[in-house]
Amino acid sequence: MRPPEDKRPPMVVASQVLNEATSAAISMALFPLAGYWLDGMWKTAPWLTILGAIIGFSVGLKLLINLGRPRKQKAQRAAKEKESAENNKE
Amino acid sequence: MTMKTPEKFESFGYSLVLLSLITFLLWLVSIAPAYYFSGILGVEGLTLSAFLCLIPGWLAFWIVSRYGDASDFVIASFASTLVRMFFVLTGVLIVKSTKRYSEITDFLVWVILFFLGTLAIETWLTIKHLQATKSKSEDTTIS
Repeated sequence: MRPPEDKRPPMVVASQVLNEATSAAISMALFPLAGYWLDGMWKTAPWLTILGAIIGFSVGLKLLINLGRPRKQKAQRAAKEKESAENNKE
Repeated sequence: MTMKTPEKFESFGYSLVLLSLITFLLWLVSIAPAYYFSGILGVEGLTLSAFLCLIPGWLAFWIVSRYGDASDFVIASFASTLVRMFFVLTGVLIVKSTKRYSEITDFLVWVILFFLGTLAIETWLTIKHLQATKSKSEDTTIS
């Protein structure tokens, strides 16, 4: 759901969210797969897969947290502003 | 008339314990077929699969309770699905590279079973958790 104070067109918001979500998904899948491929090439199994997984998970989690955090903060800010506006009315 | 979600679902610990308990029950039920098909190696693969699906479930609940709220249900479910898929993918890749389980019934079948089972339970618990949080915030607004 779009926070009420967000004035951007819905398509812009949707494409931005989609972009961030895809980046998180790709980074989580790409690094372990690359590690697995390199393990096969250099006979280092399973160490590069594990390393790839750690890097991929860190990057993916960071992107996921970024995806959720601003929306929640914006929604909280809007709720606070609404509350203070109601208090001023009284 | 809408039914109110019990407050116990609001607790992060309650969802976590319930998910662990149901996964344990699923593991118990699957021991006999795993042993029948692949012997002790099958039970080992079954146990590994259970942990591989349970740990991301715990993590997903933490993400939902920490960052998700009722308006961000889509993102919360997306995050939990992504974390689960990441753990299972990494686990399968590592197990594949060790070449320990050669038969499909040694490991892969149990990973698929636990993946689908825990995903269903987790989605149900996440919906209940978000409904409970939402109804609490509505109660606070009314009062």
